[in-house]
Amino acid sequence: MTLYDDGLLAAQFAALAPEPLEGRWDDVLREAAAATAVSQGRRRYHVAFVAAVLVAAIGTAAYGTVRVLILDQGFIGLPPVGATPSTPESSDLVVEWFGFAEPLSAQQNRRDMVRAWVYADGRIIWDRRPHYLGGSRIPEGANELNSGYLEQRLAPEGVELVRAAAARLLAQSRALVEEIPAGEDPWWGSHDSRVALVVPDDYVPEWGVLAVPDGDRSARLLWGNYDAGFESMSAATPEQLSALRRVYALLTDPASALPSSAWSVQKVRAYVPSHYAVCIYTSPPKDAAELLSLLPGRAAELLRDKPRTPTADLATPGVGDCYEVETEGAREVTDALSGLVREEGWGTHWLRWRLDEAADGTPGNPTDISIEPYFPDGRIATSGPFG
Amino acid sequence: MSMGGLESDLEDLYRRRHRAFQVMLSSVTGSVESAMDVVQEAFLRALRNQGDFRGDGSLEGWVWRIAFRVAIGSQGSRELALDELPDVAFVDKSRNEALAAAVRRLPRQRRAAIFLRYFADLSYAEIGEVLGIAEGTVAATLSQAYKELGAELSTEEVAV
Repeated sequence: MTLYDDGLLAAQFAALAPEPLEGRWDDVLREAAAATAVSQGRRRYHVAFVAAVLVAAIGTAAYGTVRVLILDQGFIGLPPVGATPSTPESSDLVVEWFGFAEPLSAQQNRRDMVRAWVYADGRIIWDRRPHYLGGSRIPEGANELNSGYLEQRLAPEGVELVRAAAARLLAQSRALVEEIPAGEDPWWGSHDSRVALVVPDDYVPEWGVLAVPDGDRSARLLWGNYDAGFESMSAATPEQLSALRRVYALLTDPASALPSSAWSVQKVRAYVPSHYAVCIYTSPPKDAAELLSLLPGRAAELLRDKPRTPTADLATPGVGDCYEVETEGAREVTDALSGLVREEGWGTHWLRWRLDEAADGTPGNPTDISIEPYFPDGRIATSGPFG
Repeated sequence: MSMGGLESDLEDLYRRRHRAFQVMLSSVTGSVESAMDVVQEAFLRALRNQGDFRGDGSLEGWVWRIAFRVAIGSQGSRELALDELPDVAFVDKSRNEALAAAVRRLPRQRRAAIFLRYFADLSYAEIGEVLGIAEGTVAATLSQAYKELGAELSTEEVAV
């Protein structure tokens, strides 16, 4: 028996073994089914390996033409063919954040815009945009203007830390917390804010909104400096500033703010939705048939029988309909819309087209068509330069 | 083993052994997260290519070979060649630098055998299957590895 026998080395190796992740056999089965469907479908793609789309990085191994599964790089609009959708398809939203954040680059003297959504299953989906062109770029981002929607996964402990930090801030700011319908965008939604917490001019985050769903309502808290011009403002106490700073750290830089035990998958990946919304907005309002009639015939045909939700455009004036389509359906609609004028920011911030003439022929009231991802809580994302 | 039952056998193997696969493969890929991706891809390929499993070895050995091919980026259905052995190392060598350094100095096949033994928890026969060498050769390989480690490390350095 030497010192280097089975038992001793086994103990040495056991002490050095990393902690494995939870298994996901269902994902394997789903991938297998998807691969079969693709191979039997009408469109057979052999996905070329491109620098921006990597199978989860394995050092610098030469992957050749390995089929793409997981995207390590954000994207705008639709994912590359074959990308694995994020799972589970649906989940409850725990906390939502939208606000400024310190830029990633020391050369940048203005803030980034960061949004983050934490879900009960552990996913934290986020995007980051420099406040002006030429700002900082995160390595996993889609482009220098927009990270695209990215995803990491928290362990239950991480979700609880975020939930507790948000609850603490709301509890400390009870008088300023407003109720809005759950699922409504806390910033762009229809419920204007009247009250806000006031933070000092040099404070980071100097502006933002936090929302925590509870049943069919969400508790919303806004903050900003006095220049924000809300109807009623209340200067933040040191305790509120501290609690706000904690939430800010957890949601804009969770890798630094959370312990390793709070993570399930810290590696940043693209959020790949399972479904997309094709939305048509116009003014004055039109009924569904009239709205569809504005589109190229092929696009209208693709959408006619899809689930439809009347909605308002959260970022620009207009009301209309959103049609729910699967990713391949969204791809076909995109092809069918290819002859339309693309809105500024197409491909760098969103997929949005504009009909040159309004539904009623009135100049200045164009019809917009956009394709946006669904989030796990069923809401339609609001893309664009400033969300 | 019938082909019809192979999917459930693969599921059973995954559920029993995915942690061992992750731990072992993290020594190839450098992180548990990327190792998890390799595990997923390896089992996916196993599911899709069930017909390639001839049943003349163990199912687990077959999946290990697929996993290594995925991990080192190799394509094709040929057997894993000796010169394609994955280059393995501890993910966090700072936790036992002496052992990490000693293991790193082992020839690649001995190093792979050591990791398969202690991270993948494979028997000599299974290691042989994965590496494509006889069980006796595995014993000799591991014995030689122990000897080299013994020469590298003092009793104090390897004390647990």
